[in-house]
Amino acid sequence: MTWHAGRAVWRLPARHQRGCVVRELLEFLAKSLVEHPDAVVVEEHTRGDAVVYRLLVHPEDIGQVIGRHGRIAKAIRQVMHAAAHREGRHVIVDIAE
Amino acid sequence: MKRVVATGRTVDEAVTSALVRLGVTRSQAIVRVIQEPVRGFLGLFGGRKALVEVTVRLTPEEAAKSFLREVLRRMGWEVQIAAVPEEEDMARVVWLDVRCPEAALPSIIGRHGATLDALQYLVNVVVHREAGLRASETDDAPSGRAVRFVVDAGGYRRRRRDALQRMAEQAAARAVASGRPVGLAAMPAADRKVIHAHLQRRSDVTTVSEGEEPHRRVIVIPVVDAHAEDALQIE
Repeated sequence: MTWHAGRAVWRLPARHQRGCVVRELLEFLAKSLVEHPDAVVVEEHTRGDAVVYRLLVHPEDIGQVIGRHGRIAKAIRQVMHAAAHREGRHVIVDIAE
Repeated sequence: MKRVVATGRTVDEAVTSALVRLGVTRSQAIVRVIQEPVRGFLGLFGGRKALVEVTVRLTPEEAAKSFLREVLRRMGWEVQIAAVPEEEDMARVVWLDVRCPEAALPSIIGRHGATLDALQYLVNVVVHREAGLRASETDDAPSGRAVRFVVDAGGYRRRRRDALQRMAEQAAARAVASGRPVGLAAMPAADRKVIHAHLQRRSDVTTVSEGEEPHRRVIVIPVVDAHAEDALQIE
């Protein structure tokens, strides 16, 4: 346990510190939402200090990951930010149209 | 959600192999045929096996708990989830209480509960989508009343609800004492609903919302007599 931003934070086991866990989170969320889970692809690259995850889904499933008024996309981003924040990282989630 | 993809010479064979692997009976599973088998030339060349996807049928509550646990695990938290059913306004509401180390709470709750709200929204979308698929695929009778899931961690929502109810009572007391409408601070729709629902049981005040999101707020209006109440509602 270490101090971070003035409060105690549990340090993650080594395997959790790698970016792949946050990526797995996005894959899991997307696959749970869509009709064609096999078509879900997450591309990862860095832009400055941030890691950008680009989510690609089957064309019929775009609505399932965006939602009415973008509510699902907003919820996905919120959960991704919470997960990445824990690792002291900033992530951007792009949803490919 | 437990799901396997299996192959076989026929669709039946593929399904049987999947059911054995999942350890469930045919009636507990949802089968989707991905590919019908094709006999090859002389039954030898160019044939394709049957490919099926078999999913274990979960109750909405099991599905919700499993989804939430898996999401939180991928956020780096191993948690226990307790499901507490509750009757609210004739709708079925199930509270999913996340049991986790104290250190996990700020991350799971988020600023002003933003992460809890996001998790709760996703749980409801995923479970209702699966329930919808299930109904259309198996022609099950609809389960009647839909279940709504509330995601809470560390008693955050219960405390927030109690605080909102106290705020509502104070505003009502001020409105009745002064005989004038009392406006509350702007708050999200879910919070306003708690205020409206809580004050509905009182006959000496009525409530309305005014303003545009995100500045929409509840106004608590004292009811002088039945006639005055009608006038206010029309307005």
